[in-house]
Amino acid sequence: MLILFIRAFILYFIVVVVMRMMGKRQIAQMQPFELVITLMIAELAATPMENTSIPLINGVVPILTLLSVQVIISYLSIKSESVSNIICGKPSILINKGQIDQSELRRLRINMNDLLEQLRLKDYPNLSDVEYAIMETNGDISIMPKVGKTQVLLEDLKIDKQQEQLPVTLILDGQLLTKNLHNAGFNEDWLTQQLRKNNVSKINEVFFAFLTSNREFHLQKKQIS
Amino acid sequence: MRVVMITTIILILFFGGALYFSHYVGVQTEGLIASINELDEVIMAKDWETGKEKLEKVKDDWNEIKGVFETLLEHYDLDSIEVSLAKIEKYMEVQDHSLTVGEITHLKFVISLIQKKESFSLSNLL
Repeated sequence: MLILFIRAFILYFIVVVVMRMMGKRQIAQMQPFELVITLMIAELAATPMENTSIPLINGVVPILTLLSVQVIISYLSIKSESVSNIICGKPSILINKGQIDQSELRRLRINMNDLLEQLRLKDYPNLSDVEYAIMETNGDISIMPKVGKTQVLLEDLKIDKQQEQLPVTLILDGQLLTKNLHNAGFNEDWLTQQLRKNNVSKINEVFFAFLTSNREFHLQKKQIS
Repeated sequence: MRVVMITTIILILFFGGALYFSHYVGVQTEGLIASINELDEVIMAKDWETGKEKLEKVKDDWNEIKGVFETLLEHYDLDSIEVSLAKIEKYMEVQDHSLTVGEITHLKFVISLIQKKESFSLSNLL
């Protein structure tokens, strides 16, 4: 039992390190080869974890090998357009200048209902509003609407607005993030004043406190259970 | 770039390590089979006393390589070798010739099977 526990521990950490090294992508944004490798790594880690007759190295070696292959393929995809086209494919234009490319739909084995569904999910229920629809290499569809059907922008209304900054987290679960506070240009005295304005005496009473994009201070106290 | 370098080095190390281990398994199993053949000859001649010495040599040879094999190979075959050696020892103790010879053959077969499974061949790849 102890052996199972320790093996699970070791393999878990190896998989976490490997997933970190593979880079930051959500599942929906992964290229097909990245998704395949993620699924394979999960399976490879599970087998030696549950079967102590299989040496740990029988899981570690394939996992690290897949990581190496994935990193090298990703690197080659960046460096070479032809490698990228082979591994990831090319985006496909499904609607070109308002006209559906039927041969492209057939080639990708997408029927009209699938296309209409994707357009609706992108908030374009009317096909006639779409100028270009492009299927990306990860299967997602990007839409460029026709002129007059686009969303109104501030520059269309000739409204000037100051560039917003990133929100900054200052307190997380009672812990002060000092580096964030100083990077935002404030100090502990300022923070204490802000806490007093919100009837909070100590930092550890705060669940979450942050600066908005407009540099306003907000906080939420911890719930007392 | 650093991650690419690290992973390329990992790949090279694994490939080199795998080639070396494959060679190591080949050499060690050949040596073990040679020891078992000596035991086999002695048992065929029903020389039980010399047979005991030869069996001890086989067990010593096996214990030398067991540690490395257990780290890198599946345990099913290795456990089978341990069971075989225990059986041979008992059969020799009661001087049962047929069973001893049969078990020695089984032991040689299991070891040569390990050698075949670890070799770099098309049948193993496919």
